[in-house]
Parts: sequence; C-alpha cells; structure tokens
Amino acid sequence: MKKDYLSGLGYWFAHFSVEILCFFILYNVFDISENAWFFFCMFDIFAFASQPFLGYFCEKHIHFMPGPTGGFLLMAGALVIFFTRDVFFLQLIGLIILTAGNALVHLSGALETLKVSEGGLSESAIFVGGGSFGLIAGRLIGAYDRLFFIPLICEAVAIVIMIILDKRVKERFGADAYDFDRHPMKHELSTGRAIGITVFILAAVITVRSYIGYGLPTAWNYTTVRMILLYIFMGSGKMLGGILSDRFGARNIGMVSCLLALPALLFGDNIMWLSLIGVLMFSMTMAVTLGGLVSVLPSNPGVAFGITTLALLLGVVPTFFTKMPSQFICNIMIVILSVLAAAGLWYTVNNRKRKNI
Amino acid sequence: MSCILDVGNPTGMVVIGVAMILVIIAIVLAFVAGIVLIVIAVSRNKRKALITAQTQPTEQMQPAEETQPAEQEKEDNV
Repeated sequence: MKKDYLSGLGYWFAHFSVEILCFFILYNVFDISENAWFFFCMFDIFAFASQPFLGYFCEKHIHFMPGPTGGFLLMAGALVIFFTRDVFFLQLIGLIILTAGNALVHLSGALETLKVSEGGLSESAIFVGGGSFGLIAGRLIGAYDRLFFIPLICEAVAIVIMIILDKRVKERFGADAYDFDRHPMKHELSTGRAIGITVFILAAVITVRSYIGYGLPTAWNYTTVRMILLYIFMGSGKMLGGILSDRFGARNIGMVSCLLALPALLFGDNIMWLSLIGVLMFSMTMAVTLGGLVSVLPSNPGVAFGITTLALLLGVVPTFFTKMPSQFICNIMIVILSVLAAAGLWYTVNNRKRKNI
Repeated sequence: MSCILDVGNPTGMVVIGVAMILVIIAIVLAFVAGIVLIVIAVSRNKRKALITAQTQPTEQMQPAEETQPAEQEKEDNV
C-alpha cells in the first residue's frame, strides 16, 4: 500500500477550486441579496443531498467522468448566477447547475482518492482538507466583483488536473475503477457489526460533528486573520486525521481526537490557540467516518460518500430554522455528543493500520 | 448568513413563508429519497457479504476434497 500523493494533492486543489468558486458566488452574489437565507439553504440542500444519488449514478456508469463534468457545470452555473443577479428564476437554475457540479467534483475526488489509497485514508483525507482552504479564500475574495476571474482560472486548472487523474485511475483499474469489493482496494476498517447499525452510527457521528461545528464557542474570532487561522486549522485537522489514522489506527485517532478536543472546545471560547487545537482535533474524525462507511459498503462507494454529505446536511438543518442554544446548554451538548461520538467510533471502527507506511 | 427568525419585515413574510415551505419540502424529499437509497445499498452489500461468507468455506474445502481421491488411490495400492 504505497501512498499516492499525486492523486491526493491533485484532488486537494480540485476541492479547493470548487469551494473558492462556490463561496465566491455565495458571498459575492447571494449574501447581499434579499433572498440570502433561501439561497444559502438551497445551496446546502442541493449540494449535500444530491451526492448519494449522483454517487450511485457514477458507480453504474464507469465511463462517465464526474470530476471534469462537474468542473464544467460549476463554471457554467457560476457564470449564470454572476451575470443574472436580478433574475430570481435564472439564479435558481444557476444554483442547481452549480451545486450539481459541486457534488460531482466531490464524488470524483472521494471515489478516486479512496481507490488509489488501496485501503488507506491519507489520500482521501488530503482531498477532503482542501475544501476548508477554498471556503475561506472564496469568502474573502467574494467581497470584490473584479476578482471573479481567480476562481474561474482555478476551476479551469482543476478540470485539466481531474481529466489527467481520471484517466490515470481508469487506465490502472479498468472496469473495476469504482468497485471496492476486491483486494487490495477493499477498505477493512469495520469491526464486523451489522452493516445497517454501522451505517447508522457513523452517520450519527457525522451529524453530531456537523451540528457541534456550528455551535463552537469562538468569541476570539473577530478579525479576518483569526478567521483564516480557524479554517486553516480545520482543513489541516481533516488532512491529519487520515494521515495519522494510517499510522496509528483509525479507531485510536477517531476516539482520541473526539475526546481530546473536548477541553479545548469547552474552555477555548476566549483563548484562540486552545480553541484552534480543539478545532484541529475535532476535524480529524472526518476521514475515519468515511473509511468506516466505505468498509461496510464496498460495492457502493459513491453512496457511502453520499451518506457522509447527507449526514452533514442533517447536522446543518437545525441551524436553518433555529438559533443555537445558550452557551451553557451548548457546552453540555458538546460534552454529551462528543462522548457518544467517541463511543460510536469505538463500536464500529477497528484499529487496522496501513502496511508499508 | 441570517436566520429565518431574524426576519422582522412583515411585507416580506409571505415570500419568506413560501421560501420556507419550499426549503422544508426539499429537505423532506431529500432525506426520504436518501434513506431509500441507503436501505437499498445496505441490503445489497449485506447480500454480497453473505454470499462471500458462504463461498469462502467451500473454497477452503476444495483442496481437501481434491486430495481425497489421491489418498484413496494410495490406500488401493497398499
């Protein structure tokens, strides 16, 4: 199991490009619109909820290239939204195209990095980590109309990279490119519990992480530099989670990161560095849950990745309609949910390490 | 991003109400369809795992079955 950093880094950039373009559009066009709430909700719903279905489609159509197709859709959707600011209906159509592209690039990255990792998590974790960097970059440059060319150029470069990587994977694995049911592509992180229970518990862990992510106490986060630091730590945590899981075992990293994040999240409200360490630790579980799901659904890796995004959406939905509870209640929730998440990971994920690391 | 509860302008309440209903319908549809797909995927993988588990012992037994005639031959020769 040799590490394939080329795919990991290539898709890191593709993920970065997706998020920089999407968040440029969200903060440049929609954030100042009267219907901001509606468009932000619809973005999350379309982008997250469509992934299980598109994942299923990609598994069935091996010659379809989800990454490059998604890249083109992203650019088309972004152009429609950017140049039709006052037409609600066209903006909605643009948003649907944009989110379909977003979902396809995510799926391509997940499927291909999980495939080349041959049972490891490093590559997919590197891919996942790119999103946080793109998110903050898009949000920052979204304040300037004239910088629209930057995310477009990034996306064009990402399309070229994805075409190369897609060809590389399909030449190497042929018709089995999206079937993870055979050695050495098989991920073996499951503890052997019933598949349904494992899927339910891992999805619940992701939902908890998503919800807590919105309730993190970060009173220190009031300058742009600090906001950038927050997202850098978040992205680095996601990347480190997979790399360390390959070395020290997924269960160890998942549980330890959940529990060690607790004091930092609870007492880091006004202490920036403590809070950042908490965010870093808390983000590490991402690769572990993805690896666990692919281990129990090897014949449907696209659906497995889609479950992670659907669970993320479930964690975000309460924030659409309600405000976060008071800080005291929030802290109690963080403690209870984090302990339950750690227990869930212990129950469903094993400690298998990557060989020949 | 503002929360729906922050909206205090009564003139926009109808539009917001319609938007909210659309969002709720989209969420419900997404989750119902997603759960159906997940159930299909879980049962498919369960069935495959069961088939794999059933075929593995048979494969392990095959060499033993193959050696039987040879052993019988030996006995016959004796």
